[in-house]
Amino acid sequence: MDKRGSVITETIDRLKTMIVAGEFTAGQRLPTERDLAARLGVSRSSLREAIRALTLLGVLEARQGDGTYVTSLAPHLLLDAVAMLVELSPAATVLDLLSVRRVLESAAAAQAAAHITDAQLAALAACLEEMRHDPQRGDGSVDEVVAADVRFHEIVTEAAGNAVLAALIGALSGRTLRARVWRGHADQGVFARSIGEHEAIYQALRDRDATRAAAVAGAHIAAVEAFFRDAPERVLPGAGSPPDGVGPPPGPRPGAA
Amino acid sequence: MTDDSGGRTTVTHRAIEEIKHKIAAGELAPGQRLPTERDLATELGLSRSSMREAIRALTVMGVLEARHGAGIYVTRLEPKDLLETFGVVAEISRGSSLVDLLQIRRILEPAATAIAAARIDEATLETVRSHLDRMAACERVEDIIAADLAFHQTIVGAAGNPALEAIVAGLSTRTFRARVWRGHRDAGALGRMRLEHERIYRALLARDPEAARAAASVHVSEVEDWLRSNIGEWD
Repeated sequence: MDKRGSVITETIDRLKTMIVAGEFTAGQRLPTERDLAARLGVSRSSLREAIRALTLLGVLEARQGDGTYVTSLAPHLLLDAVAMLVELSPAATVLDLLSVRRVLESAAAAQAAAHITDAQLAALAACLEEMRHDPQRGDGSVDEVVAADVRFHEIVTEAAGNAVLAALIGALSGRTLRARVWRGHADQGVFARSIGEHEAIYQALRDRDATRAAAVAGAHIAAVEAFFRDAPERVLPGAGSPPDGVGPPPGPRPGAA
Repeated sequence: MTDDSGGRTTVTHRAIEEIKHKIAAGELAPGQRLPTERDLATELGLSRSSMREAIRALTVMGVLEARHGAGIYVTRLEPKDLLETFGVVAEISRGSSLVDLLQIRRILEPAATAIAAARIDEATLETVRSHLDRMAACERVEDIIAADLAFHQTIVGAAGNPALEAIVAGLSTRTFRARVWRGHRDAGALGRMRLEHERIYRALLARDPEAARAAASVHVSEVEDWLRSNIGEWD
């Protein structure tokens, strides 16, 4: 990177370190641009760019006419960036991320079995109704089914009572990927199987059976893993290439200017 | 975004989306060189300054990297590049979020340890043993923390899932561990931790996934309990 670029990267790191060290805490207003630039020994324009990058990461926010603040640093804000990155992952990584999601969703379902409320159970049942629409027979759209699926998993993770866990599972789920899986299911005519898996999760939660909830939630993600492993190109464009040895060699290529 | 640079930030978001889309669609592959800022700006019909900001933000996120004198490249998009942000979340978290994070570690680390019990090879077992011995021999807290970190990293690495490894690493950064160890070294806690580590190692040696899962679970729960009862001091 050019010299100015590395100054900005360094400034970003220093601001992050100050937040980690508690010098700036959640919701706190940052000093003025001039004061902060002087304190960090960087130009105001470098600082401004560093602040903008951290704004895009959900760490800082600009408030109209009132300067720059540290956000609430709530998990969902910070994990937005993770969600974005999940969607960019190559095929091999998507499989690895899915198995992490399997472990997490399975644990979340077990926790949810102990804490889920009647209102949440009713909401799950409503999602199941939505999912039973069959777009192939002109009944509802794939998008509606995907939305019901997202909502279903959100309710389960919410019932588990761990906000960071819910945000992490949400980030790992990748909405685009989920939509592609449903479309792939529609092509394969396996809608019914997937809905059956959701029903099994609902029943286990309704019976407050934590081990069964964990098992069926795990099996549900494992089915997605298998679907994906069998034919990644069904789900991920540009995933036809083998997981190993993709891309050009690392390191600088001086000739490639 | 509501400040006076609001319009610009929105354009930057669009620039980020465009680059992200090119990568997701496979137009830009991992390790590939990005077109110049000017060419990209022209192609996408966006200003160069918003393009520059987008590139910078994606660099911070580990999607792009600048190579000295050679321009901007897409990274290998490996989990450790992409999930670095997750480590920042763990470091920044306070209070109840911290307990939430440890609970996630209590889910993931036992799972990773169980998988490792079935997959770990002799050489890696030796390495795990050496970290264990080092932990027992060390006096300084810093050295114990380093050995502790290496012990867990080696085991989680043996599970063979880089994404899992990156997330667990984010959940147990050095700073985070240091905070726990500092508060924890009194009242026989050190001896208890040693015993817990020893149990994890023995389960791996026996290639017993369930015992490994249980031992790792007890270990992380112990830290979680301690944190829960001392949370006031952390806020």
